[in-house]
Amino acid sequence: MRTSELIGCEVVDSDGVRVGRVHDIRLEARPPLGASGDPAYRVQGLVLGPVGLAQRLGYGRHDMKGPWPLTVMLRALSRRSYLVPWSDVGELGGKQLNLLRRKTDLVPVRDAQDDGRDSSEADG
Amino acid sequence: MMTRWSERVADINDLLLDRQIFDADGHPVGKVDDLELVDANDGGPPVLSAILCGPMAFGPRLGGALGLWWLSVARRLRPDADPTPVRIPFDQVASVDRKQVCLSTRGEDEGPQRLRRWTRDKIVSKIPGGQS
Repeated sequence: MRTSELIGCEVVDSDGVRVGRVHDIRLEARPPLGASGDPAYRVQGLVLGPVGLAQRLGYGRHDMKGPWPLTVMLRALSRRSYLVPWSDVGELGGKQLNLLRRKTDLVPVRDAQDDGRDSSEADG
Repeated sequence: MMTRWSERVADINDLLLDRQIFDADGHPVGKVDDLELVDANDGGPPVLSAILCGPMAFGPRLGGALGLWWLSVARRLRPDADPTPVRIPFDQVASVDRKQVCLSTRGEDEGPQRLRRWTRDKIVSKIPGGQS
């Protein structure tokens, strides 16, 4: 599978409700070890939502700063993006990706970072 | 855990896609146009197995009519009939950060140079003065 097959896919939740499109793929370096002895990059989850601009510009991260009107607007937009763990990703049919979860149960990407990404970076 | 990867958790747009690839001698060999994922045998999430680069990898990323046009041009310019993009196994990656990807192998050994070699041998060398 190529990442270009996932990026841009239309995503629907388990009830068939449109969630948005896949904007990014989050990787995590963890076992199994590759031939080099380093942990392999594995897919942690998909970043998706109705608008990908804020994510692409980096406003989904806490450390991103800029002119305050832009920061306020783009951070608000980034709150509409979700991080869906790979275990909640169902079938990919053509350019449509089905989730195993309802849209209302999805975690906004910034909240997911508070819970997982920042702590994992601190571990590393 | 110290690894060759600058970040333990990162998004592919932030870390890899469109980054310049350098070989072991520091020569540029291409850009990261796409990534290959393979299913893990342990039932876990897919594993990043290779970097894909060159026009055959970039066309599908563009998508739509522009992507198809890009692919058709790439097929015509290909030095061989192989329709697959240039593939660099991730095991050959020495380090990754947000600015660049460095390989542990030399660029002459890599596929990204094949279009350059074909252009040099088939086109540039036939132009008067092109062999100097």
